[in-house]
Amino acid sequence: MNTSMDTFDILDEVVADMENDDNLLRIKRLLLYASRGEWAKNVDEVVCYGLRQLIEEVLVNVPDADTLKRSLAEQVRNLNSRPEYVESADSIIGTIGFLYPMREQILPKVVKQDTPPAPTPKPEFIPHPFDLRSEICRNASPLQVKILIFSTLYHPFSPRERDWSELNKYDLDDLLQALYQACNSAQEVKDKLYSTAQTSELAEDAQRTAGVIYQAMRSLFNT
Amino acid sequence: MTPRELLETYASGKRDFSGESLLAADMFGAELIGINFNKAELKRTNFTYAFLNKSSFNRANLSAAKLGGAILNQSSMMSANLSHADLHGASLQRVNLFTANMPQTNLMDANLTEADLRSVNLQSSNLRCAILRAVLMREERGYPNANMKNCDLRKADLRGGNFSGVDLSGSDLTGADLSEATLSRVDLQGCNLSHVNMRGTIFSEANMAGAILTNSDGDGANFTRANLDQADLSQCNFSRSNFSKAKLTGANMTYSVFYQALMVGADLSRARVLTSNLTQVSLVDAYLVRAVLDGSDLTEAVLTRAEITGTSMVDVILTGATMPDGKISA
Repeated sequence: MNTSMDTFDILDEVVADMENDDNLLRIKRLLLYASRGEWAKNVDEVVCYGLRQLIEEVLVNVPDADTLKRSLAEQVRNLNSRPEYVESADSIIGTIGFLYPMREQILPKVVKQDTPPAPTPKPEFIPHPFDLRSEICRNASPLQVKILIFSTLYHPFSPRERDWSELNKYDLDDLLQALYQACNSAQEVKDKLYSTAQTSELAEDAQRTAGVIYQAMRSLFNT
Repeated sequence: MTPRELLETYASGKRDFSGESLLAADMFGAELIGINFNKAELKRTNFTYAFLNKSSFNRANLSAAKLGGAILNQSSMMSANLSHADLHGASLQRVNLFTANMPQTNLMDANLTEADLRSVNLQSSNLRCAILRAVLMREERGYPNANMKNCDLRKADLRGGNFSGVDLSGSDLTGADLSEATLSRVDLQGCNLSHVNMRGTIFSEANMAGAILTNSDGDGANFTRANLDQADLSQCNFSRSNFSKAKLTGANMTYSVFYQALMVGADLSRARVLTSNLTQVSLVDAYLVRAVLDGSDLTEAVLTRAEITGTSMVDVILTGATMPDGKISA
C-alpha cells in the first residue's frame, strides 16, 4: 500500500468537505489567523486563498493540534458572529487536528527540514492588485499593457482594428489576474510576454511594455 | 493643415499650433511631445498611442477624439472639450484638466495619478479600473463642483485623492479602493460602494442616503455628520470609525463590526443593528428610538444619556456597559 498516496487522498477529502461548508469564508479567515497571526479584514483577500494552501500553511506554521485549538479559541472570543466562528473553529479542529499525526507524510519536505522553511505556495489571486496596476501604469501606457496581455492570453489584437468589443470586455485587473493564473513562474510571464511582443505591430514598444510588466510581477512568484 | 504638414513642421522645430484645425485627422502613434494645441480644432482626431507629454490643449476641441493609449503626462488641458472622447488606457499622470468638459468619456483603465480635476464635468463617464490616486478634485471657490454623476468607477483606484464636494450620485464604485481619500461633503446618494476598501477614508458631511456599503472595510473611517439614512452597512468592518452626529436612520447595520467606534450624538432611530459587534462603542447622547439591536454585543459600550425608548434589545450582551442613567451593567 502506498502511504503517501493515502495521506494525499485524506487531505483531498478534507479540502473537498470544507469547500462545501457554509462557513467556508470564516474557516479561511481562521486558518489565515492561525498560521500568520493576523486577522484578515478584506473579504476579497480571504477569498483569494485556496483552502488547500491554507491548510498546508497551518500544518507548517502551527506545531500541534493543541496550539491550533488554543489559538483559535482565543481569537473566536473576540469576534462578532461568535456562534458561527465557534462552529467554524470546531470544524477546523475536527478535521485538521486529525491530520497532525500524518503531517510528515502530507508535508514531507517541510517537516523533515529543520531549516529553511519551504516557500509559501502562490496565492490564487494577486494579493495587492491595486499596487501592481499602479506600478505597471506608472511606467507604461495602460492600453499597451492591456493589448499585450490580451494578445498573449487570447489572440493577437491590433490597436488599428475596428472592432474593440472583445478587448472592452476585460479591464486591466481582469487581464493581470488571468496572466498571473496562467503562469507558474516569473520566467513564464517573461517568456510569454516577450514572445507576443516580438510579433507585435509595434514590436519595440511592446517589448518595452513586456519588460515593465515582468519587472512588476516578478515579486509575485517565489522562484 | 494636413497630418503630414503638421509632422514636417513639428520636425523642423515648430511647437506652436494653437488654433490649428486637424478635424478627424489620423495622428496614430505620432510623437508630438511639448506641442501647443491651445484652442485647436481636433474633433474626432485619432491620437491613439500618440506621445503628447507636456503638451498644451487649453480650450481645444477634442470632442469624440481618439486618445486611447496616448501618453499625455504633465499636459495642460484646461477648459478643453473632451465630450465623448475615447481615452481608454491613456496615461494622464499629473495632467491639468481644470474645468474641462468631458461627459460620457471612456477613461477605462486610464491613469490619472495626481491629475488636477477641479470643476471637471465627467458625468456618465466610464472610469472602470481607472487610477485616480492622489487626484485634486476638491471644490474651488467661484467654480462649479466637479460632476461625476452616474459614473462607472468599479475597481477604480481613488487612494489618497481629494474629492471634497464632488457629485458622485448614482455612481457604481463596487470593488474600488478609497483608502485614505477625502470625500467630505460628497454626494454619494444611491451609490454602490460594496466591497470597497474605505480604511481611513473621510466621509464627513457626505450625503450617503440609500447608498450600499455591504462587505466593505471602513476601519478608522470618518463619517462625522454624514447622512446615511436608509443606507446598507451590513457585513462591514467599521472598527475604530467615527459616526459622531451621523444620521443612520433606518440604516441596515446587521452582521457588522463597530468595535470601538464613536457614535456620539448619532441618530440611529429605526436602524437595524442585528447580531453586530458593538463592543466598546461610544453611543453617548445617541438617539436609538425604535432601533433594533437584537443579538448584538455591546460589551463595555457607553450609552450615557442615549435615548433608548422603544429600542429592541433581545439577547443583547451588555456586560460592563454604561447605561443611559450612568449605571454599569453587570
